[in-house]
Amino acid sequence: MTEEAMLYGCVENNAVAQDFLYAHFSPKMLGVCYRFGKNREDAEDMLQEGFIKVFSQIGQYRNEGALEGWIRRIIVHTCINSIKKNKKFTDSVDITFANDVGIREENIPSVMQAKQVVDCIRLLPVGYRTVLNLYAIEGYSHREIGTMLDIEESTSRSQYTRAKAMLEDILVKMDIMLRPKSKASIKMGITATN
Amino acid sequence: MERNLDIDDFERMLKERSDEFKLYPTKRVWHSIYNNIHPGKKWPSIAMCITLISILMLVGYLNTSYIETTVATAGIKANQANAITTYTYYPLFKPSLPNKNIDDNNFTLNNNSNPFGYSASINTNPTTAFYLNKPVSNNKNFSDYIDNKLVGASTPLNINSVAFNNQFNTAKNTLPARGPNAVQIDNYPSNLIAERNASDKSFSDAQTKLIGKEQKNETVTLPSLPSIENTNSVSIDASAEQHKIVAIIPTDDNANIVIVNRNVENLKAGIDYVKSKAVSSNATLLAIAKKDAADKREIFLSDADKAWIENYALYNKPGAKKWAGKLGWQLYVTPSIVYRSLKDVLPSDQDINKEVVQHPSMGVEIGAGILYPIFKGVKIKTGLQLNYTRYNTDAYENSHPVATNITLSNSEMPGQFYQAARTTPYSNYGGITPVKLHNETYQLSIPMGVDFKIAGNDIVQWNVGTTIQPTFVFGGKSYLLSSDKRNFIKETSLLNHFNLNAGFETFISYKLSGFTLQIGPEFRKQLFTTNSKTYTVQEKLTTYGIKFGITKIIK
Repeated sequence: MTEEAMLYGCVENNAVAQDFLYAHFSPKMLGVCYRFGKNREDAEDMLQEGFIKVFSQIGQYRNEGALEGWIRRIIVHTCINSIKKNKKFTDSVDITFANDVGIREENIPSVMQAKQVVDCIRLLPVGYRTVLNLYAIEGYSHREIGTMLDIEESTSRSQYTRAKAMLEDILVKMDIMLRPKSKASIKMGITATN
Repeated sequence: MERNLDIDDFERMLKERSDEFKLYPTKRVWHSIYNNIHPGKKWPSIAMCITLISILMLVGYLNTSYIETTVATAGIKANQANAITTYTYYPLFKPSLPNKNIDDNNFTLNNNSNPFGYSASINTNPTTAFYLNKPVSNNKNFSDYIDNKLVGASTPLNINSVAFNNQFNTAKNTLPARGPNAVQIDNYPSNLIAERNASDKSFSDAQTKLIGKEQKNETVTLPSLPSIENTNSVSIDASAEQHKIVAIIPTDDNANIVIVNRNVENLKAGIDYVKSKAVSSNATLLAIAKKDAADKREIFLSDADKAWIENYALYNKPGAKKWAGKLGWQLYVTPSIVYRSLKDVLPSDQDINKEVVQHPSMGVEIGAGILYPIFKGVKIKTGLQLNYTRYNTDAYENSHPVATNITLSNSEMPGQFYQAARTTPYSNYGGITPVKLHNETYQLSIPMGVDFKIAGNDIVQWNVGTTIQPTFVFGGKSYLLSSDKRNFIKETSLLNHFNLNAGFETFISYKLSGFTLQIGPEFRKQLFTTNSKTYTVQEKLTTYGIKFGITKIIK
């Protein structure tokens, strides 16, 4: 089924086309939800809510960008709304000293698997994790993140810096990545938990 | 949206690896999505459930009434015997009768008129008395006769009936039914079917009377029907060893009747006996039958055995079901008009109900239930009810969706609210195309309540009723008002799946042909908000309808 036919079928509320679209995009979108959610069940709930919105709003898709990108934005917004119900993003992690660590490519092993990275991201506190997901992976700016999460832009920046440092530390501790030479020691006291 | 910043190696690595990551969702997710976007597809399963419940109720009803034979049916069968010489025989049994001599008057019952155009009692078996009925000239059916004018049986009939009843008790639960109303009795002439008649008063009281019905029609030749004065003219069959006389004799001017059932050595002696019992010279001997000497099925019992059998039958009667004759099933439908009221949880200077233009619309409630009287004039009731609610909101549709927000409360932090981003093409105050937004819900509820009789008699009554209705909302459409009240957002995910309704009704009921019809106004109020508590605008529905119902008592 071509993407055009699939889109037309979904607009017409055709179950086969909807099934096809879901089967095509749901694995990747569940991966997105999994990075935001507390656990797999939580992620599946987000995916469900997100795809219901996708199918109910598919008539609004203007073919102006990639369909996957459009679906992904809806899924991400659904994840954010879900997280916002339960979490305040002003929670912070007290980091006494954290540098904006520059990690070079030679520190990243070529065999590093996607699941390892995602699992490490999910170890971050929810505030850090959300900002890191939105900025580093989804490509939103700090300004947009601030609007989405009802926080200051500067807060988003600092959260991201700290999240990145913490993730690097986790990756190193788990022997997934080599510790960069410029990495300073990090003292963490987590007040926001998953 | 994309930022114009340099992406360092670490971020690129994160993005690449994360994008590679895939997880395959369980089927539950797709089923939930599918059910949500195709609410109509749920209907087949719900319809199937209702069909199954209806079938179960029907089977239950038939099973509880398998012993109900309308004697009218028997009467009809007798009527269907067109040829004058072809009759269907109905043996009568009254096992609780003590051994009485024919001289006793216990067999005399009052009746105001002879219900039969042409009828007789006849004995074709020494151990069984058969009642022959062929109404020809009036509309009274056999049921009326059995109900009010049954006469007793003689000693041999009595013995036989007790034995029969005893066998019936044993056989009832083990032998397969031959049709819904009959069971075959083992160790008894195979052409006999036992039936019980629920409409028979004696059955209702004692539940022991059995009516055996000979399945096949037999052709017999009746002697001419002599008047009592002409008994001497009745020819006597000299070859008969013994005769049994069964007669219906008017015993007074009111045509009271008595059945006489006695073995006599010769027919004339029997006729004389009948004549001696008649108090009216107009009494008519309706039939005389000859004993079949070749019949070998006679049962001989000692007096002690008879007494034992009668006692056994008396103390081993099938227990009466407490709910029989009380429990009733009901079907009803309530066309209704649905109104809604809104309440903004957040403080506001304006009445939110005035900020939207909404119109009531038609809804309907369809249900089936059971009723049971617990006191005189008080019935409890419960059942299953399908509800469809709908109301309309005036709005405008734009060519492009606009970004907007709805205000939601934080479920874990009471008193805190946040804005959730949404897009919608529907606006409240102005737009390109005026549209009506149909807010609707599909509900399944379990009404539980009480009906009170206010006034009336057995036929016509005025009642009031009230119910509480736990409700499951399994589908619907909801258009939510945005935070700035300028837009409507279609959002079904916030629908409350569980709710509670309260109902109040008053109705007039009328009994007609075994059914009770009812009609009256009904008021139904939704107690909790339609949407999730997190949505700051609370909506409650109010329904006004006219309920039409039909009720049948299960016997």
